[in-house]
Amino acid sequence: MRLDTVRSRATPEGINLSLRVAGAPIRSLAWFIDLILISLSVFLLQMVLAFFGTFGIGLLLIFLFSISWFYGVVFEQLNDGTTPGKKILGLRVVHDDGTPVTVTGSLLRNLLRVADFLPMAYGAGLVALFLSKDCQRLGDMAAGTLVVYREDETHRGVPPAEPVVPPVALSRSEQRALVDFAARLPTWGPERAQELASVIQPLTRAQGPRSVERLVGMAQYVLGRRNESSDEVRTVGTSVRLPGGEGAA
Amino acid sequence: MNRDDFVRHNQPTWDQVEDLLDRLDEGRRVEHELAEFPALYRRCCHHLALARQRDYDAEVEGRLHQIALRGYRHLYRRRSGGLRKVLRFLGADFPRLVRRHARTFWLATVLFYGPALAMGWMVLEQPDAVYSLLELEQVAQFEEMYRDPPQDERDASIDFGMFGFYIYNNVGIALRTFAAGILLAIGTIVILTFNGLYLGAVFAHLTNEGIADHLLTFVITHGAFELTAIVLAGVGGLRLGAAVVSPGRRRRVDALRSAAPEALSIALGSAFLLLLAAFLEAFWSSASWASPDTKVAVGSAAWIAVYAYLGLGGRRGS
Repeated sequence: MRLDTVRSRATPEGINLSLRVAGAPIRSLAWFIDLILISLSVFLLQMVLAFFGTFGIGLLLIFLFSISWFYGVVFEQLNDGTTPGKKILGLRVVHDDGTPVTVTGSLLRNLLRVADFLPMAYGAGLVALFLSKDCQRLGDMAAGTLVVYREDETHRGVPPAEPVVPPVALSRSEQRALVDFAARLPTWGPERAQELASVIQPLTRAQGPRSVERLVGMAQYVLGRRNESSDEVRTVGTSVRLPGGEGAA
Repeated sequence: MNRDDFVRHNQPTWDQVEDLLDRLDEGRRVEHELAEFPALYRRCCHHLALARQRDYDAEVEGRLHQIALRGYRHLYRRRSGGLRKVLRFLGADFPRLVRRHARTFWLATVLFYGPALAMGWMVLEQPDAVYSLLELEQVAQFEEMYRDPPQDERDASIDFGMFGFYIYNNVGIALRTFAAGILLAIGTIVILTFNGLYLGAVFAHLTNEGIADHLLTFVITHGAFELTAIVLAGVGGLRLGAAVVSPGRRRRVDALRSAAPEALSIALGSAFLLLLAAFLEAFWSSASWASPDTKVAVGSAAWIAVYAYLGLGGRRGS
């Protein structure tokens, strides 16, 4: 069973594209923003059209019809798969192979919205969302569409630190984990970072802020940065230091 | 080559592709560079594969993945036709599609007109039966509406107001009839049946009151489009439901997905007929300048035309 929300799709180039599908809470929020925009536009138009009598009411009803059924279709087609609500929250509608959503796809998922809304407040849609493995509501299933995050998580570089030679030889996936830890450091509070760093105390041989600093240093080393003044550059993988052998604070 | 060398060496390619993608995303013209795009894109895909194989960090891999993801959207975009396709659809493809699903069409027809006839017969036999379906005030409203034939020349702005209402209400009902089909077809069946019951009840009750003529002359023309369109929306909904209920040798989701585009097309054709119906209902059906006989004649012709369109449209030509 999958725990994360990343779905892979192979391309003809022989690589796997990762699509991060969006879950119910953020999609509800996007829908709520759209709902506010729709209500606002209907309200404003109503004020203007009030001056035109029954002719105005006719226009208003046509507008109401169009916006309630085709709001999503128009925006998804003109705005690269995003309604304003989705755009603000960084979401996008795509086909399940990652290609941009077509007119047919847009129409299906937006017209079937009423079925998802039943019996009330998106009841059917939410049940479908929780049961489907790609977070699809009924309309998405019929149209073969996904709602995904537009961007990957932003990856910053590894923060600067004095390179530290890891005390043991690290496998590639361990090296990768170190570098990813260091790159994601700015997104956590210091306590969380220290908590995570404490998990591999045998590697850091340090406590508190110092352990985090040493992990970042090791990440720098893994990336190929070397401290010129250090004389232990070539020792990685060949020597395993005894516990406490290095001057940990 | 270590990670930093790899980045330094390929940075210019990535910058170039990102710049190109930025312009493609914004829809600006990139004609002379466009020929290079597939090659550049594939080179970046190759880089991504290398970065993953060598376990480079998320900064490099993330950037390349983002390039691959964005490039893929442009290179493998699915195309869909424009206005010509719409005209072709209405002229030939739509009636063909309906004929291909003729059995579903007749099923939807029975589900709609069957209850209408049954309810009509019941109300004719037992006039009070109308109150089992309609509220007292609703019945009074219908009587009020059709007590007299349309008399005064009414204001054009009222016509337009009603036009808006018919679009909002009737096309909405059709689209809902279609969409409710995804719920195991139950939603579609319920909506078709209830609308049929109402139709039969109102017609029979006004016959009992002796004023059915006024209703008939009012609805006969646009009814040809409107009632047929409701049936067609039902066809779309039933196709969706059938795929979910009886997927054959496929997963339900897959059966639904392959049935959905055709079902949608039928529903959109139905919506088009309803737009015509709304126009006729607002500007013709209530007009006082046409005599009841004229309206019945035009209306009958409309019924023949609609069924001829569905039965014969697109039989010739490719």
